[in-house]
Amino acid sequence: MTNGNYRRVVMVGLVVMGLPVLFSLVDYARGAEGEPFLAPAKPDTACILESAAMRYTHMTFLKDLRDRVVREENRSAEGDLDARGMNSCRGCHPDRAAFCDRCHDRASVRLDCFDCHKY
Amino acid sequence: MSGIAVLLCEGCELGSALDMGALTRLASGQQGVGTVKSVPCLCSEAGADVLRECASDEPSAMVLGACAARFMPLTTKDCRCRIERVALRELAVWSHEARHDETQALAGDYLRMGLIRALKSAAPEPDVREVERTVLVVGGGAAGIAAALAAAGAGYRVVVVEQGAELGGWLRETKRLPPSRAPYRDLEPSPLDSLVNELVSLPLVTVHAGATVARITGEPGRFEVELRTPGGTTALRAGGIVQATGFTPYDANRLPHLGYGDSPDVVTTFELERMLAAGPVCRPSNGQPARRIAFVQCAGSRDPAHLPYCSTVCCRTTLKQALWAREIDPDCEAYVVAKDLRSPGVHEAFYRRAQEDPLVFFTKGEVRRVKVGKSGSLSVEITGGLLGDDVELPADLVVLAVGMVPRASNNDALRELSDARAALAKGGPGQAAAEETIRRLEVLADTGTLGLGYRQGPDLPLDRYGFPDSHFICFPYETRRTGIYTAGAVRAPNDLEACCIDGQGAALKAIQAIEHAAEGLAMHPRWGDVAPPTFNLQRCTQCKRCTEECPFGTLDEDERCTPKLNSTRCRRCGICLGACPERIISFPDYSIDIVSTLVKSVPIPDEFEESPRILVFACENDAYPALEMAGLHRHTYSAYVRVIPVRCLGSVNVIWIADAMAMGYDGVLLLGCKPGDDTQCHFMRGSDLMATRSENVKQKLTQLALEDERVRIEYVAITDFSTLGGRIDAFVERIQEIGLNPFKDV
Amino acid sequence: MVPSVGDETTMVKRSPHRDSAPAKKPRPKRVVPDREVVRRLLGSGGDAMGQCMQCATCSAVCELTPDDAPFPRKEMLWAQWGLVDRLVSDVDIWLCHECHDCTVRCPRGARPGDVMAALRQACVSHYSFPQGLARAAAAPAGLVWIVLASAALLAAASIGWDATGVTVAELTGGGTRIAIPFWTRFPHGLLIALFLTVFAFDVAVLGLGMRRYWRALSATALSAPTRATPNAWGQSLRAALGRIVWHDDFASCQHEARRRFGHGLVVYGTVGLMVVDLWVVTARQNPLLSGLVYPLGLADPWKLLANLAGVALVMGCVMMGIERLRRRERWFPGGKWSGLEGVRRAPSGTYGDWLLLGLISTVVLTGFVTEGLHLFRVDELRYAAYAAHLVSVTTLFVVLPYSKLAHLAYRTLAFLFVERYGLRRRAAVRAETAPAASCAQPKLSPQEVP
Repeated sequence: MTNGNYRRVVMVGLVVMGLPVLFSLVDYARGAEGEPFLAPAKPDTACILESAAMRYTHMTFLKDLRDRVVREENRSAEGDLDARGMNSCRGCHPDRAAFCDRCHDRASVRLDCFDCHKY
Repeated sequence: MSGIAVLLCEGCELGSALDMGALTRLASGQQGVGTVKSVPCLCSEAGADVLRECASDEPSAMVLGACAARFMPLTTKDCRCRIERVALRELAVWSHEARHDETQALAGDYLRMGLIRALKSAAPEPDVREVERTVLVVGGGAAGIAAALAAAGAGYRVVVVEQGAELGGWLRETKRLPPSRAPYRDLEPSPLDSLVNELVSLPLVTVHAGATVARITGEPGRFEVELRTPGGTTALRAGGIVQATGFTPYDANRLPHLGYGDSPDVVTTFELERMLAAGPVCRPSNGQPARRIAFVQCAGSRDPAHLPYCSTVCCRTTLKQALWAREIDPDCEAYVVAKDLRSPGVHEAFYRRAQEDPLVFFTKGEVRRVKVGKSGSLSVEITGGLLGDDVELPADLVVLAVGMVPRASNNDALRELSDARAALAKGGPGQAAAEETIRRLEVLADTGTLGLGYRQGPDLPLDRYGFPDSHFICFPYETRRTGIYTAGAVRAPNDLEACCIDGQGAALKAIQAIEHAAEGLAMHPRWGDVAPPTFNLQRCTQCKRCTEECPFGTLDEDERCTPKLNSTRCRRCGICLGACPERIISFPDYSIDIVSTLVKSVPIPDEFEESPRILVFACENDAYPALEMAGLHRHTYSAYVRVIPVRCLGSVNVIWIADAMAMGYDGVLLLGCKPGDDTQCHFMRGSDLMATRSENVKQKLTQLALEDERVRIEYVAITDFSTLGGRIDAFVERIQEIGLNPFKDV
Repeated sequence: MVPSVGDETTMVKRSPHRDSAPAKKPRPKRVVPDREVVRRLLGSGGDAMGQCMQCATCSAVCELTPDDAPFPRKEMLWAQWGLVDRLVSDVDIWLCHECHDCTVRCPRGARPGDVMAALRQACVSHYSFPQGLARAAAAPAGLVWIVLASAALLAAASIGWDATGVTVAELTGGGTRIAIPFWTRFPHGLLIALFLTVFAFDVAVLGLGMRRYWRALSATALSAPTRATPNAWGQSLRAALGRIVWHDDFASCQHEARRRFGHGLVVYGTVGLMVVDLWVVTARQNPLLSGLVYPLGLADPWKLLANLAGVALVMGCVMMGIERLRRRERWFPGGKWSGLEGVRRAPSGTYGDWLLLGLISTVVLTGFVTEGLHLFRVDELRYAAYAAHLVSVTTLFVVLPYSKLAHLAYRTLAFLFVERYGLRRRAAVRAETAPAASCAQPKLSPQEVP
């Protein structure tokens, strides 16, 4: 690689590093601000955990729930919460696209049935 | 006897480049010539048949006009007569223009010269007498023991003379040695005991310990030796002599700047050797362990003010001692300060072994001085290395790696002293000068080693460094006294291995000298030459030039100063012949008359032909072979030259030059070996003598109103063949510029 | 006139005031070998340095050495003698880019390139604190302890956070910005706090070392300045950074020409990752962002940059590693080298060299593995991979100021020093003065800057 080519490659690299900033600015300028990122739950409903905690732990929470109910046949814990099952989430959060997928899509989390229903 | 047989070869372009018919006619017309034959190719089967056929007719001599004998042997033992080779191929055809008148003339002249040689050379008579097959070895150190073992192993009686009480020399002081065999990493024990045991067990060997040589007379094959032994004197006969008197360490007292004498903690490598053999190394001043040992390399060596040469061994000794000291005390550090560390050849591996030890520290640098502090502390001041220009290295013990001084006697001084004593005893003028000389040199009175009863002094002549001189690469072991060979550290600074090889080599040379003496043959470099010189003593004027100028001390003098030949000392160089103003010295096949005839045999074209003639005397050791090689490589040069090989530039008698100028030659070119301190002359002095004589010749030329440039000396090595032609052409050109010799038509 | 190599020291010590003030002779400098320093150098790449016989082939073939006091010949001698004072105040060790042109040509197999690396390691160790940590970073045994300590540090942080009763939410931030930790045991706030602390420690150690080193340089080298007035700071800094940005010094390397590219990939890969890190660390304060600030989706430009930079890093490391392993074959084809067994070992890199490559590769590869496991939802393993990633990152940060990685500080400093005081590279001098100089300075291996 000649000296000139080397410098060109380095300059391309530096430009590439600046691109995300550009994209972020464009994104900001297009403006999704103000609108809440996730759709709120139905009014007058109570979440099974505090909402912030639910954000970080719903993945494990749901799997724990699955284990207890399906694998240990233990439906006693936490009152009758188990009776509601997974579908009960949808009771309070009916807009799947705005409540689940939006975040999942952004974070490249692709869920299918077998993520839970396996082994 | 059927006269001289002449065979001319037509191969290798000779037949096509020369008019062979003309050459045949030329040869047939010469005096004493019997048959003349022209053969298509002398080196073929058919040629060999012709040669054999010719030889069977028993001609008085054969002249072969062909190629140089150096490149193509043609004759066999069947040819018992004298054979003259005329190298027409190299000297005429391949180095000059083909089918040219000048080339033809050149070839004709060379052929004529060959015929004259064949005609004029007499059959030599070898001087065959009884010899004593005993080798005298002077010095019983490593080299002496090796020489004695080698000579005894070859079946010769050996007498070893050792001045010490025991055999061994310096080896006795040395308990451990640097490695001598692969992988050249580990110290080795001294082989001395096994060597001595082997030596004393041999029935052919007699050892005289505590003895010195009082006097040696005679010549190779017939030396009369007188020893001073503890019990008195012993006389014996020897055929050859090996001088292996070794060395002494350079006197460290002459190196005050290195602290020797100022502090007991500054020692030489030789002193450290004893300390190491005794156990842990301590500071002599206070008995404390020496933890930091600084080695100062080249202490007095490679220094014009002290020893100008490198002793080659000291660096390895230092490596050995550093590793040895580290082995005894693994906590000690060794510092080595060297101009550059020299461990020649495979011993580089040993240097690398020492470098692997991280506590042996090396640096380049010059040691400016060794400073002794008030409390006795030592520091080595170093300059000129990468440690800095001005650094000091604290040390507990400083070791000076002093060099080796050959233990050889100063022949010239001893001779001067004995001459002065003789002059004083005789009386007459010059008494005061003699007394002064005696006062100056008396200190050397008992330092003789061999006590030779030679005209030219009692010991071997030395070179500028104090070693008995010879050409130490081309002619190892040779000295300027035939039959006496040097071995070991007296020849060159050598280590044990080299001493052992030296001893063997010198012993074989001594044996060769004995056997050649038995058959009356010459030694190096005119191997096997049969004929010693003869002296027409009626005309001798006792000028002593021959006895003085002989490089080998061949000639002694009787009371009237007439030369007395010791034939087996003679190497046949002919320097006496060149020296003699009365021209009374000659060899059967090389004499004033023969060469003069050769000079005069060349027809000189008259002044109108514009064809100059340049006479070239070429030393047969390097210059003449170089000319032949020039021809072989087809380097061309002027066809005006006529080359006559001579035994040595020193063997050129100025009468030949005078003859040439009188004959009408336009110039004389002398080709010989380099003179000077590192002379390449095979007879040591020939070129120097010729340089002096040619000055006289030039003066003569000037007196005759001739340009002194007409005589030129060129120094030629055998490797110079590719430039030699150019140098000859340059001389010819210069002569043509000067003009032709005005004496041509006289 | 060709200056003889023996003149080097003379020229180093030449004072511009010599003529005006011959004055009194200075006291000779005492030379006391330091066997402890020698022992350490022998163990860190200088095992064959004793074989140096001061022939100066190395200095003659080096394109980076200045002409008036060339390296590495003098450094070889100083290393053999363990002259630590001179070695740690020598700017030349950082001008060497370890291209090993000298090692290839060394007739003794002393591997000057590796010795210079060992000297740089010694310099870094010398100026850093605490010395215990510096020693641990310089030896394989120490690495085990550093890894264990890093793991313990992370575990302690995780447990300690749990004990304080701060919630994940508090450590992760909230409001309209959603930030989901990869592993709830290590919320981002915790990691940011932890690594900022370690980073501050690095900066402190390196900063102090650089300060000491600069003083040492100024004290020795500037006692005999080669130029009367130093260049301006701004100009010097620009020139120094230019050398780093364009990798100019690598360009004169003859035997490892591809290293310029490999090193560039690693450098710019690291810079890319640092940029992304900066974005992520500041995400919760960044006015441009709202909603989910992390994790980043695969299509996110920042994620793309991060992955690209990671690939560049791994590629660079692999390139350099392969070059290093193939040196023996490339430089001594057919294994034809003379010398003694063990002495002329192939220069396949010192421990410090491999530690750096290994650590960087481990950090990036564990990161990629973690990412992959996350994408494919292999939950059981992804935490293990993430733990390994965190431990390797912590280890890298801990050893940074003590390892070869410290060269990013020391070499920059050295560049700044030589640019400020006008010490010139041979190649640069030749490029400027060619062709007249090419007659005046015959070289063993004339080679143009590619």
